[in-house]
Amino acid sequence: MKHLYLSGVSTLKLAVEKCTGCERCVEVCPHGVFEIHNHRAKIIALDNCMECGACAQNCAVGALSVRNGVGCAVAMINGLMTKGDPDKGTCDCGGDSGSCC
Amino acid sequence: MTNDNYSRDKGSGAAIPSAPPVCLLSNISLADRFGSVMCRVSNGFRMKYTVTPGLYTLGNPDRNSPVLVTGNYRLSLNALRVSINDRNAWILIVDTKGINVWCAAGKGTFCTKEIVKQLSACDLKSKIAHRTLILPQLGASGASASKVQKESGFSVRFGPVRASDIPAYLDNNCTASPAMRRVRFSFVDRAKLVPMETIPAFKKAGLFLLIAAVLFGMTRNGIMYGLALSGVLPLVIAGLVALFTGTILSPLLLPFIPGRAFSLKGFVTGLTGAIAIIFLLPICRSTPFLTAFNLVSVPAFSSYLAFLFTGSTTYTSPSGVKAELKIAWPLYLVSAAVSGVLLVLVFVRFRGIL
Ligand code: SF4
Ligand code: SF4
Repeated sequence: MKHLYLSGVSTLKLAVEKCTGCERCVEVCPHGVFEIHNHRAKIIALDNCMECGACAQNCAVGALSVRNGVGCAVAMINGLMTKGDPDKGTCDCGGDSGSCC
Repeated sequence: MTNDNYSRDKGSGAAIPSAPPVCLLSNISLADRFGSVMCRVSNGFRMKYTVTPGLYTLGNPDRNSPVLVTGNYRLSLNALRVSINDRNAWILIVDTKGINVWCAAGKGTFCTKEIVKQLSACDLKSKIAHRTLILPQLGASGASASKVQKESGFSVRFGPVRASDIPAYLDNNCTASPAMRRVRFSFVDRAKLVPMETIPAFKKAGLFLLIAAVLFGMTRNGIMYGLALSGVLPLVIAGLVALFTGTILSPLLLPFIPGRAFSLKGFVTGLTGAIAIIFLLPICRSTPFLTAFNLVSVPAFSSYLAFLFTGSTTYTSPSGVKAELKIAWPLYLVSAAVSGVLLVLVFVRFRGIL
C-alpha cells in the first residue's frame, strides 16, 4: 500500500525555462516526483516529495530548488525546546532516539 | 568493530596513496548475522558497526570492472556484498562516520568532497581504465554528480535504491527501472525499526511509573507495597497501552490507519486503546477521574510517540513535519497539563482525601 504524507506542503520549485532535459532529477528522485515531457522536466507528483534535496543538489543548471532537510519530529522538537525554533534542532541519532535522520 | 574480513592494517590506512586494496569476502558469517540484529536493538552497537574507508575489491576486478561507491556502515556493505557476491567490482568506501549512505547524505557526511578525497587517496585512476563511478541513488542528496565530475574527472551514474537490484542494474547497462528508483517502506522495513522506537520509550515510562508507585504507596509508616501496586497498576496499564499503540501498532499498521499526519494516526490508535481498556478492565474506570485520565493521556501520549516515528520513515518531508508540529505541539502541552491535573485527582481520590 502506498504511503501518503501531508499534501500541499513541499517547497519544491522547478524553473522550467532553465531545464535542459538532462533527466538527472528523474534518476535521483526516490519518490517518482518527475517525468520528462517534451525534453523538459515536469513535476508530476508534488505531494510525494519528501524534500530530500537530491534533485536540486544534482541539477547542474540550477533549475530546481527545495528547502531540503530531514522530516524528523525528534530534531524539530529538540530545536523547539532548546532554541525555540524547529529548524535549528538536530536529532541525536547517536543518542537514544533511534531514528536515522 | 573490525574483523578479519575487513581489517586493513592501521599503518596503510586510506590517508596513504595507493594503499593496497583489501579483499572482501562474499560469504556472510554468523557474526555478520548477529551484527545485523544488534544494529536494530542497540544504538551504541550500530554507531560502531563500521568499516575502514578505502578501496576494496569484490571478486577479481580488472581495469574495466565497475566502481561502486558506498559509506562505511557495515550493515550496508554486508547487503552490498551479499547481493553482488558473484561479480567482480571495485568498492570505494568513503567515511560516513559509520552511518548509512542515506542518512549520511542528509547530514552532509556523504558528500562530493569526501568522494573526491577518497578517490585520490586510493589512487583509483591508476587502477582502472574507465572513468565512471556508480554512486548509491540515496547518496544523491549529499553528493552532486556534476561537481564530482568537475573535481575528479569521474562521471557519475546513480545505482538503484536497493543493493539487491545492483546485479540487474549492471546487466542492464547501468540503467535502473523506475521501480528500482523508488524507496519503499514495507511492513518488514517498519517492523525492523520498531525496537528502536519502543526500547527508549519504555525506559522513560518505567522511570515515571516508579516515581508514581512511590507516591501512591507512601504512608506515614513508609511505603506500603500493596497500596503502591494497586494505585499504580491502572497507570501501568495506561502507559503500556499508549506505548503499544504509539510505538508498535502505529508504525506497523501505518498506511492502514486513517489520517495522513502521524500525530493523527497515533491519536486514533491511542484513543482506540484507551476505549478498549476502559471497557474491558474495571480497574481502569474505578473512578471518573481515572476514566478521564485514560481518555486524555493515552491518545495524546500515543500520538506523540507516533509523531516521533516521522524521523524513521522514508517519505516524510520537513515541511510536513513542521506543519504537524505547529498544530500538535500546543495540543500536547494542553493534554499534558490536563493529564497532570487528572493524575493529581486520581491520586487524591485513591488516598481517600476526597
Ligand atoms: S536535473 Fe535539472 S536540467 Fe536536468 S532534467 Fe531535471 S530539472 Fe531539467
Ligand atoms: S527533494 Fe527529493 S523527493 Fe523531492 S523531488 Fe527532489 S529528489 Fe524527489
